[in-house]
Amino acid sequence: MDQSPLTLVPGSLLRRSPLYRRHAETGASFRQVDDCAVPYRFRSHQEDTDMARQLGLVDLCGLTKVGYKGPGASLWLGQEGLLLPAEPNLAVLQPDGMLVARLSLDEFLVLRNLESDSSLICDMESAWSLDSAVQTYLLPRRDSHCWLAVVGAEARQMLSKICAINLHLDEFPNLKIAQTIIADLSVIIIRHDLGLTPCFYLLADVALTEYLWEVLQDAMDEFAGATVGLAALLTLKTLLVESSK
Amino acid sequence: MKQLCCPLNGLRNISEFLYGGEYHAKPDQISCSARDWAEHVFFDENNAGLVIEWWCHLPTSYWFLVERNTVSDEILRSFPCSDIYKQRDDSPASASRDKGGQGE
Repeated sequence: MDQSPLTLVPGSLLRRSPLYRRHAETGASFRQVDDCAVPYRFRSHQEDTDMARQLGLVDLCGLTKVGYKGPGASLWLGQEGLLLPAEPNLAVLQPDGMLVARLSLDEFLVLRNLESDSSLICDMESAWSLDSAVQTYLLPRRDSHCWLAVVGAEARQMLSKICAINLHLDEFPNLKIAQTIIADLSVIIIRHDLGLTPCFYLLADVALTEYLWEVLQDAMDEFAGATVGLAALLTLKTLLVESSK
Repeated sequence: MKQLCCPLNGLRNISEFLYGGEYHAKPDQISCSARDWAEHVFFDENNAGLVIEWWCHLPTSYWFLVERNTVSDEILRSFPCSDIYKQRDDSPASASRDKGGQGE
């Protein structure tokens, strides 16, 4: 893990999370990921990681994501070299760690991996045009949706307070998707466990990010959860690699 | 809470859905009378018994059809509208615009 000092001021970048002022007030350190300032740590690295193991809330709004929709979308994405889920409401992990979620027969959401770069997503966006991608339409999800993560052993218990879906591993395995309502908001839930640590991505209307954030923080209180940075997620992924060797 | 099975998302609380009115087979809008068209657009049968209705799953904006008994409020089945609409149903006006756009 990179231990270099984190001195980035979010205001120095054009793209920032809608929550960046809150993070700055709580003493977050930021790091540039793609063209965005992402909250990287909120306390010491070990404390952040320990908290994420139990229950953590992570702001991933700045990370690149994109959508494609239309009768030709599955054909075009396949031609671009992506592995696609066979059915709606499933996601597939790509060899480089990118996540492709199938939201319906004709709609896909592509989320960047957490650790390396987003060049493949950017290449795909560059390659897309109305002429080259027949009956496939680009959805600028980066500007339309926020991306939060609820991570930790208590994540499922916490989400059961505010979500009617049964998120138990038997009913909601890794890479399963539910498009449902949380706190009166339409939310896409994607389970993407980090090793043995349960992790749920939540994507909702970006205009309602602050409301959703407060709802999640309120629900976390009784489990003593807290906001953690991206570095904690990266460490949990690394721990999996080490333990599986 | 009542629950409804969405063909795309499975069994969900009824609060995730929006009722969209009765399903009516669309009359031919070129040959039908003004009365028939008004019946199709504005009027419902309100039958007591089995009806087919439009419902929308709000988080996904997914419209589908439900067969329901309005007397017992029992839902018999839900199914995608593609079971009825096998192909895109363009209005004659938009179809002629498309043709014009293609230079035919």
